[in-house]
Amino acid sequence: MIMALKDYVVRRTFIALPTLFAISVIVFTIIHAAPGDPFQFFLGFNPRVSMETIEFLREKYHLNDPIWVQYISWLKMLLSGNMGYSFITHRAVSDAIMIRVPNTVKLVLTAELIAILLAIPLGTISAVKEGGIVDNISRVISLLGVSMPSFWLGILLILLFAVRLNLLPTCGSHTTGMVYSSTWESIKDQIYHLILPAMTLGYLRTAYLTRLLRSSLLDVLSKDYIMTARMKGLKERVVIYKHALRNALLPFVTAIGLAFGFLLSGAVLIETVFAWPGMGRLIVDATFTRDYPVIMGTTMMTAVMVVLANLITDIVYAFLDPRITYD
Amino acid sequence: MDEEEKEVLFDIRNLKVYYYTLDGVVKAVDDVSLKIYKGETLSLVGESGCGKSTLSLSLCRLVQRPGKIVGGEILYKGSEDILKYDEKQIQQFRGSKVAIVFQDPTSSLNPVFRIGDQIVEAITIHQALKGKEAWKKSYEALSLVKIPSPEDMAHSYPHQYSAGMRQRAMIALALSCNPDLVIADEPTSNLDVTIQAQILLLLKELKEKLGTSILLVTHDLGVTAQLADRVAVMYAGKIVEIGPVEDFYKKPLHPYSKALLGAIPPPHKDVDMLQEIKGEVSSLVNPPEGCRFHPRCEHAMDICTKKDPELIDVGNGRKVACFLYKEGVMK
Amino acid sequence: MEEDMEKKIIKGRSYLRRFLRRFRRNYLGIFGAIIVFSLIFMAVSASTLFPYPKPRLEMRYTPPFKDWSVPLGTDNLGRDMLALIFYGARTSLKVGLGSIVLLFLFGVLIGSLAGYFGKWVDEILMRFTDIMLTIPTLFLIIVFLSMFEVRGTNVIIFAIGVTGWPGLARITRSQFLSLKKTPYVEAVQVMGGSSLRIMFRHILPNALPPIIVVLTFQMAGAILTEAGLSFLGLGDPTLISWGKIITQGRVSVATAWWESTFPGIAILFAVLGFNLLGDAIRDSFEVEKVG
Repeated sequence: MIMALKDYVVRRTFIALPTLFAISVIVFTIIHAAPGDPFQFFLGFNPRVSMETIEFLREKYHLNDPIWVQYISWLKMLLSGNMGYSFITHRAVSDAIMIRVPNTVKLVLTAELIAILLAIPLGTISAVKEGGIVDNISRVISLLGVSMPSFWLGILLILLFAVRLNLLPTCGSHTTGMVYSSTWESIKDQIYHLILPAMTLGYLRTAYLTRLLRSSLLDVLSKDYIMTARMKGLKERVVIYKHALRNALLPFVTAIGLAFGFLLSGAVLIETVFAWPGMGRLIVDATFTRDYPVIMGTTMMTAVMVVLANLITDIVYAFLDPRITYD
Repeated sequence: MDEEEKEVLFDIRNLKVYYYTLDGVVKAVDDVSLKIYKGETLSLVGESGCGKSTLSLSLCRLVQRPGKIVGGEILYKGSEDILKYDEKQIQQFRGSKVAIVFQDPTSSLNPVFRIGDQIVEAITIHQALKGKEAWKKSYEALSLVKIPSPEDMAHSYPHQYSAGMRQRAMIALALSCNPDLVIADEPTSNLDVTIQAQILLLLKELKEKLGTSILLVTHDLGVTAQLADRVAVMYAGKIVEIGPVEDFYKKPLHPYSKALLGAIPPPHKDVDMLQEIKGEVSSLVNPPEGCRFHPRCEHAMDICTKKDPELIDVGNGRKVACFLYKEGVMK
Repeated sequence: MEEDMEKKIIKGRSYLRRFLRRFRRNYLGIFGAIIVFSLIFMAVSASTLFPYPKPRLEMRYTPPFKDWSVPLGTDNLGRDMLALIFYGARTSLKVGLGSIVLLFLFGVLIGSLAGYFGKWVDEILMRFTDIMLTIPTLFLIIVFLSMFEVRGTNVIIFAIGVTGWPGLARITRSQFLSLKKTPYVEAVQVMGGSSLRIMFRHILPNALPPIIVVLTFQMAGAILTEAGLSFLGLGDPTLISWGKIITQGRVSVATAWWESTFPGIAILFAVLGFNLLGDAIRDSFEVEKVG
């Protein structure tokens, strides 16, 4: 079993490589196909910067080479573990990303955990008591959740919890310049900062996942094997939580994996609202300054994260569904 | 075959099961009375949508929303009305007294549990058996339906079984708690012809070996002829004819029964064309006034459009709901 | 023969009638339709009802329901909030419509080619679709936007349209896959109809119901995306956009709550309207679950 799993992971990783390669080609082409470049854009208006300086910078960063030459040198660098240097800060892109990744992961996973913990009971009750009070309330919650702009909800929550009630911090991932008396103090501070952004993102996900679980559970409940389970004389509780939910979780798990990209997209907006130092902020800031290596690196990193999420989903799925094997 | 001598297992009296849909109230079972005897095989025959599956589900009180049992009683062994059972009683009743074999063996077994788990689950709730003993019982059930090396197969998942094997496993599951009645709802219609024959043979053997009553729900008069002792014909929510199987095939009484038998080619005879029953099955939402079959009936009379015929005893254990017999027009 | 034709026509008409009958019963769907019509009304009538909102610094931060010449108050520049909301509807609908047209073109083209021709065409196109799905959409949109120095509305529409099609392509493909095998289409093939004609004359109309449902949901999605981009500062700087007003009001949220609250409600209703409409259309079409 463990060996099969290991083989499977290795094989899947090899399958993912061409995808990631193709993504890098596409993204690189889009970024570099654009007319103009950051130096022209920022320095071109400045009369004290001569054309020669701009040309020198272009030459220095190989922006005058054909795209494919630039791509190959980027790829060579990447294979040696280097993602290039930011045009603006001149720091290594990999360093900038590695500082940001844990923050984004922390935010996204907490939000997803909140969503899963809320969606399973809500979705189940909604399906079992179709048309009941819980179903109607969860329908309203869901409709609002999928229709509400996340950043707006974030602002309202800041207004309520941070400004009016003064319960939670408004932004950042920790209190700046604070000296902690203990590790526990530091963790507590970080959790305080995480609550609002994770709740905002988590609510939107709850809306989606609740509806999803409800509809897949309704689908399962109409299956013959549920009748078989009832026919055996099982208690309704056992029929639902053992026989139905186990099957309804299969599409639910797939959706959680597939929607990981949506979660990352959502995080971009949430990170902006709460000034959360994650990858979303990084790419948005880089877009304003046309910091090519940073845009490139961040996008590739999110693609890698999605591929990883899909891999984990497949493994979990195979555990839940005996029909799937690692072959 | 005098019916008074045999023990009555189920006595269904004036049962009404309605579905409350957006298009109106569907009277799937409308004032049906029927007896099921111990050890017999009763075949409930009719076109799809005539209410025969709903009737069979009522015996386990498994009719699902928007359907509801709205009237009548179902007496079990002459005394208890199962419609009056509370939730706990009906759960104890299901599986141990009545079990169902559904139509499609691919969807009637839960794909994420092993076959053995699914049988053991039933055994542990109805019999005082646990763990190893319950598993041993499940092997016995599987070997009863002739599944080879049951000790191994019990630990396999449904998708590792063939379709025919799955239906055998389903039958094993149904029989595992020794019920008095097994309802087989179109047990072979989703199977290959050769496998159909095997399953029918198996049911026949099991019935002789165990003496369990079988309620065979089917639209297939061929299957009925092979297995049944008695036949009940259902049309648009009502039973129109009941009788012993030999008499029924020799001389069907109700015009609808005649039409049904006309619609299958007699074996070993060359038939040029199948006789088709004209018209469409009557709507269960707005059934026609009077006898529900009259718009399609060749012998329809004035009274048929006005009054609903009742089941009348015509002797020899046969009953029919048709004015032709009351008026003595046909004998 | 004539009778048959008549039957077919009646069938077509009764299909529409059945759709309308089911739709009429769907109260949430009607609510959605009312919202959508109001949006259209707001977008069309904005310039008739209100002069283009200009800064009037002497009126800055007028709270709502105080001065009835500006019922919803004013923003930090003294602009009429109500007028801003009306003009914002224009931007939202323009971006939404523009991007679903693009989405439709890309999605249906790629999906139908993959579904109809199958084999290697399908293989290549679907691989490409999977690749597009691997990059989180907002990141892909941002990459596209970084191409342009001036991010006008057309650029936003392009970015949303060119990144959002994979979902639609998948649905179209599965529709084409199943419709291709219907006896009716096979008959046209045998009679020698050209592939292009079969695809767009015979299959596409039958594949439309689920496509329309997806497009309605995508319209909601595009409005949300536009708002998000404007919020991030990546929107069209020359246009009035709900998302942008929210960003601008964010700083003063503690003192002037209305500045970011009203445009947020506007976005919420606009998106809700299209979502409800999509749900209702799906239920009325008797389409199996999509999206």
